[in-house]
Amino acid sequence: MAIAPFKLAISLGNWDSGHSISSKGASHTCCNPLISRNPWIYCFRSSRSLSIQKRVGVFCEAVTESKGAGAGLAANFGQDRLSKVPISNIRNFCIIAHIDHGKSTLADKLLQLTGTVDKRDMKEQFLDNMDLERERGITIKLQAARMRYVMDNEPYCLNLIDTPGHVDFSYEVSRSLAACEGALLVVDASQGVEAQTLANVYLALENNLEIIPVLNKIDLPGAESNRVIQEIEEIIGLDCRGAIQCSAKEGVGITEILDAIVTRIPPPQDTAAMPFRALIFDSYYDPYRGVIVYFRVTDGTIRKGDRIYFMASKKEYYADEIGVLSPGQMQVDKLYAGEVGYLAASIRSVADARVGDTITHFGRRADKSLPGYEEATPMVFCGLFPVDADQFGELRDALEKLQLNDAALNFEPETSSAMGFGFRCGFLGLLHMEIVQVECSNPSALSDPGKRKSIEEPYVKIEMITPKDYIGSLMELAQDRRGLFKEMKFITENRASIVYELPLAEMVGDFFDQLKSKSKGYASMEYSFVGYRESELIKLDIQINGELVEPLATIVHRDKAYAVGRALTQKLKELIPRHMFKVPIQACIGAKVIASESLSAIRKDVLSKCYGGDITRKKKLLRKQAEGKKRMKSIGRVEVPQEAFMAVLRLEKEVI
Amino acid sequence: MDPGTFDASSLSSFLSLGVNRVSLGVQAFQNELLKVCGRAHCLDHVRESLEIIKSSGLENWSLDLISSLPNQSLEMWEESLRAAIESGAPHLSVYDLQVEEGTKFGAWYKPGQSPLPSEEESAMFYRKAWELLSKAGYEHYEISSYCKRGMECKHNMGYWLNKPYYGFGLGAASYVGGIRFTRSRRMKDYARYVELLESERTREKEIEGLERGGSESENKGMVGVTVIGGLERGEERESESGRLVGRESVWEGVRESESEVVMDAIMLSLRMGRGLEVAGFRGRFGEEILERVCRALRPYVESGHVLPLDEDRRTLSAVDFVRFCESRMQNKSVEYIRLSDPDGFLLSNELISVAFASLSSS
Repeated sequence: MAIAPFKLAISLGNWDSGHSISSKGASHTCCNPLISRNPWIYCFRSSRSLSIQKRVGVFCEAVTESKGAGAGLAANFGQDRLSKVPISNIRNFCIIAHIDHGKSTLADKLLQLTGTVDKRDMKEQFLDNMDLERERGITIKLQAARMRYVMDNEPYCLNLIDTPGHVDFSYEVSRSLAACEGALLVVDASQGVEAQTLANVYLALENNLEIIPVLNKIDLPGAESNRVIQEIEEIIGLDCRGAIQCSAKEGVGITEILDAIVTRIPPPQDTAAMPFRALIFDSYYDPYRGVIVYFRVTDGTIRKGDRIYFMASKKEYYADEIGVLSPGQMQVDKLYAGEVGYLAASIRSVADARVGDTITHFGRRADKSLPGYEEATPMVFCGLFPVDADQFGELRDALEKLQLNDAALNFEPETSSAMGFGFRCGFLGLLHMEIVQVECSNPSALSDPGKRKSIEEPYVKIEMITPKDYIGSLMELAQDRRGLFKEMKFITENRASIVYELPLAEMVGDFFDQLKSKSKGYASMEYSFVGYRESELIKLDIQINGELVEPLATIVHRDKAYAVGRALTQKLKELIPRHMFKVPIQACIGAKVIASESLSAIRKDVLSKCYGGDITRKKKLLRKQAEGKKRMKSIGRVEVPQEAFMAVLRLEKEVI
Repeated sequence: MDPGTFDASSLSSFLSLGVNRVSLGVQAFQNELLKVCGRAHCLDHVRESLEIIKSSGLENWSLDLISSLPNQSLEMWEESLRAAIESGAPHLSVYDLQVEEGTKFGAWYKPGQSPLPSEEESAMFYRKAWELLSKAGYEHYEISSYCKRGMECKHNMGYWLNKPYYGFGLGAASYVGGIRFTRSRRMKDYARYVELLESERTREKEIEGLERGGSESENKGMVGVTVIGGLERGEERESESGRLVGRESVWEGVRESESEVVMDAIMLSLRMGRGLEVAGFRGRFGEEILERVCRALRPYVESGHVLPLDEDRRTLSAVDFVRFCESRMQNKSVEYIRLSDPDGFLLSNELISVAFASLSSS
């Protein structure tokens, strides 16, 4: 690897003046070759960065020819990464990989090798930010990192844009892909192609990204590079002649990858002269600065302090602060076409800075926004009610706070006769919902079965990739959930892809967990929404003491109605306290009762004795009885405890 | 007194001392049941003691019966009831068996499960008692108490009308000056207390303490203020509520808060056939509380578990009660509110706790 003959002097302490060079006289030989081509090059001091605490004054020293060599120097160059390079030297790329195939480890290595992150500052898997992510080992929130890499004496600016791997976030993935020109396709050399790999590769190909296949984990004994290469070529149809073999963990092949990024991924188009347009690919809420927006500049230039305009949300702001992520936030004065960065503009909520939106100048607006913007459409809904009605305000505040950082979460107020005031929340999918950690209930808004002609429910297409040993049980699983077999093919001798269509309702819940458990974890799955189909769904009503309890109603498939009805009525009988009269509990379809339980009336509830010393004790008993009453909701004459509602909803989730 | 523990001469000795009422702990008229409840007496003893009492000329006496005993049948219960009636007892205390934790019965038996009767059977026993005893001319004046005209137990009425009283003995309960207190459960402390009381100064202090209700510590919440009836200055003592340091006598109690007193009034008055006396209740606790209680009990007036009565103790209708409530209890139609017999009494816990629930604002 050729290393440019620089020497960098790094000094601690403030360096007050921005040192800019014009093409006129350069005291900075390091930048010399670039100056003649481009007027925008200058070194300037690094600003405070979130993660790197010390102030580092960076400047390029006049250099004498000296033969430096070794990766150590390359690491030093990393400090230089705020320097501008010509557009032709920018590479914007992302890493596509299935879960656990080593994307984060590879990203870490790239950061390290380019000196972007000091070994000391290295927290394992630097890109994973949220605690939940760490727990589950998955990436949810995007991050980006600007790296500086020198090859053949040329400095390059490599922008790594991280992508979420989970199927629920395909829109966010697609927008971050749109911010790139290329992608590293990372495949575990012992595992081979997985469902998620496929889904995201297709997305990348759709976005015309240059894909560099990378086989990771070649250090492992089970690695079969040739087989996997064959898989990739066959299944994806990608030319693997340039495939790079690496072991991110061991640090093997990393430089090859960096070189390949430079040589094979095209630079962004030079549209710096056009009206400013930037694609938002992520944002998050910072309590002190408002929403921080991550974007890729597609055309034009943005300067700090510019008045900007968001084309989809139609809001305008002043870009108080702009900078790059490397990987922490580092302020700059300008960003131009091809670059990736962030801005802070005292934006109130992420809903105002939506992924996929186009930023342009308020004054000189671009004609057209960047393509591909979509409003995130929730697919899974649930009702969220505070157990204590007094906490409605707190719940709303909590949801609003969540929404600050999650544009895909939407919610609106909802009233339920039994549950009081609450919210109906929409999520992109199950993982999304789990992240927000709520309980789910199926919405019940079906009309009278008599009047309805037909009912439709959403269907999804799932593709399961599994070793051949588990084909049988997975097919059984899908069929159990009202799945329609579509096709099966063998990807390799030992692995098959099975495609089913099944109702979303059957997938919500534990389908994924079951898939994993039935295949000992080896199978993987992707799903996509394929529209509404007619279905035999009916509304199951619950009546307590002859009164319809709407919040407990649920939609079930006709075949399951009896079992569900029985389970629900039994559960209610357990949980509703006895009353002074008999309480019939029924499950019905329309007017027809399909399951019924009866809660017997209390016959005797009396304290025989109540003399002097007893009085305090008996009073306490009765007071306790009274407290119990206060926590009830009235359904006509019947007092139903809040716990009963919760338990029934939980049961519905399990049984249905 | 228990059958078999006294004879004619000991009874006459008691009477000569001034005892004017005897309560006989018969419990049952079947030997097998007496054995089951661990009684030391048998049916013969019962008959004997009844004889002794009747021949003593004592006119004011009572007899205890327990229903819902293990393996007790409805026939046996009826038999006991008839025998009790036949004995001519002027007063009967009829108790539904309460199984308490920490007792032998608590360890051996579970309410509602064999050999104890089911809840339904238990309720039937209660109703049977009411049926037979009412027919025999007894007045059901309290949940567990029946008497012939004018023979209400004054002692118990003291409790039920929430009158003040002194109790003496280990762990005895007293209710004086709005403070409910319990005497020491241990002989040593009790003896010390008596010694202290014998000194004049202590006695004065005790009375003062009771009158002032001075407190060393405060109990938060509904229970009221804990009052410590002092130890000798500087003396320390362990009590249930912690370490006590203070003044002269040795007892501790609770000065009831207003809300406690309200609950006393509701609970105790509804346990009586007399019921809650509206005017007095309103006068003592105010209109708002009365309104809450009435509102809470309204559905049960409609179901017949609660009866509104006029000044002549005639039962009013549910409609009358509604009107009464709507007039903000101003029209003087309803003078008493009582639980119906036997239905209301049988479910008195539910009804009283409903009334309790209405008291706190929520």
